[in-house]
Amino acid sequence: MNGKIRILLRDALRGNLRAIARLITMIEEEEQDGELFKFITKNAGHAHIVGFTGAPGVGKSSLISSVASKLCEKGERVGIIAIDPSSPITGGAFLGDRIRMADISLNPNIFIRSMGSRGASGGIARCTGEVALLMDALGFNTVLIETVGAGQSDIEIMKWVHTVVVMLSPGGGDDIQFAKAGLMEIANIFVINKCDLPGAEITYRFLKMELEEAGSDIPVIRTSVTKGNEGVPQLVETLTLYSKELKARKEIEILKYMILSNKTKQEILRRMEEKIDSWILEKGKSLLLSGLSPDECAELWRKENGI
Amino acid sequence: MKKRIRILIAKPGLDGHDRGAKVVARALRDAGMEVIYTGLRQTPEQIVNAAIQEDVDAIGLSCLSGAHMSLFPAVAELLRKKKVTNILLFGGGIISQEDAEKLKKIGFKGIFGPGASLTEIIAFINKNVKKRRKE
Repeated sequence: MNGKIRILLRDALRGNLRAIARLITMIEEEEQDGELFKFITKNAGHAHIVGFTGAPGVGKSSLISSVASKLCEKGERVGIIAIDPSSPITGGAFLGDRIRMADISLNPNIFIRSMGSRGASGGIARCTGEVALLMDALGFNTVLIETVGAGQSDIEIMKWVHTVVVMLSPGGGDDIQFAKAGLMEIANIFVINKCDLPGAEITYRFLKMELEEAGSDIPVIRTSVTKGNEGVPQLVETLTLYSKELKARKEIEILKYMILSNKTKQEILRRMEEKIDSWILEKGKSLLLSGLSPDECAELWRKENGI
Repeated sequence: MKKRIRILIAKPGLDGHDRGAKVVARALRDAGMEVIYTGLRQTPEQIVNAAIQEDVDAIGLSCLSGAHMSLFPAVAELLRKKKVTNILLFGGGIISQEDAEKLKKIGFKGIFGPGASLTEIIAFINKNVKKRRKE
């Protein structure tokens, strides 16, 4: 095994923050060798991975902070991945989710990592699932993922977590909004946050009505982080229950294989792409010039490569 | 692949004036860096802890209250204690030439006062982070 990775993994398993942080960077920068993923494949598959999504400003960071704190009181170690958008123009990012997590920033059982979306769409970063698995493999019991402020079609998060918490806030629309496809379909738990604000009751009723009409029994939890963390214990209880059920049904490990399969697919595609690019450079252009259609060229490539 | 530059911008102590810190943070974002902003009223422990977890290349501290000579060295000292040597330190605020010299001696590579240009700060970070990565 690569010596550097071995030392980092040893230190990370002892809880060394710098080592954990370095390993995350290696995944983000795609500079890892296979050893890191061998470790992940072997050791992940135990943590409950939860996604929190919803519109910008709905209170995702604040609620995650409260939830993480409660989970720690129960003796858990919690990893947090907080994603904010990267600029499509400069690649830079302003990552501000930590601001709302100041209360837990020195908790030795919580690790917070901010992440730029780096060109990925749908509310997450490209390597979000892989970093969650790393935290899992390092012994974190729960991983909480905060998406980029999400819109109705930002549903990518559902592929990378066991449980999706969709957050709404008062005044966010009526039952027609809640009947729309997309974001509203991916929730395992609904949270109406800021329930101390006016309009919370009507939002709750609209949502309940819509869920009833759809014959859905997805729980709706009303929370307020500013009003003494109202509803947070209930949310944590629900998450714990889900985690137990997933484990009892032996479903907790399935996600690991989905994430690793996706990574495998990416790796295959990258190798293929290199091959395809050089083939096009070599032959494609002259074939097109000779009058072949793109489809005919592709067929030719397929036959040549025996695929 | 070129590793993206990550910077922590933090406001230590009780000073609530964050316009400067946010202007710098946004300029660094526009220069293609990932900027983690911690928000106001951070202790040196919180700042160092965040910098480690975020695996940043540099920490930029902003202080306009006059407490920089106790807060800035506290951050530098804590980094030393934790044996973190690879993070570039810089700072800004209402800081006299005399204090700036003292801070440079304890590890703050750059001190930027009122009137410092954003281009200057960006160039400083680019140059020093590259240098550190080579070491």
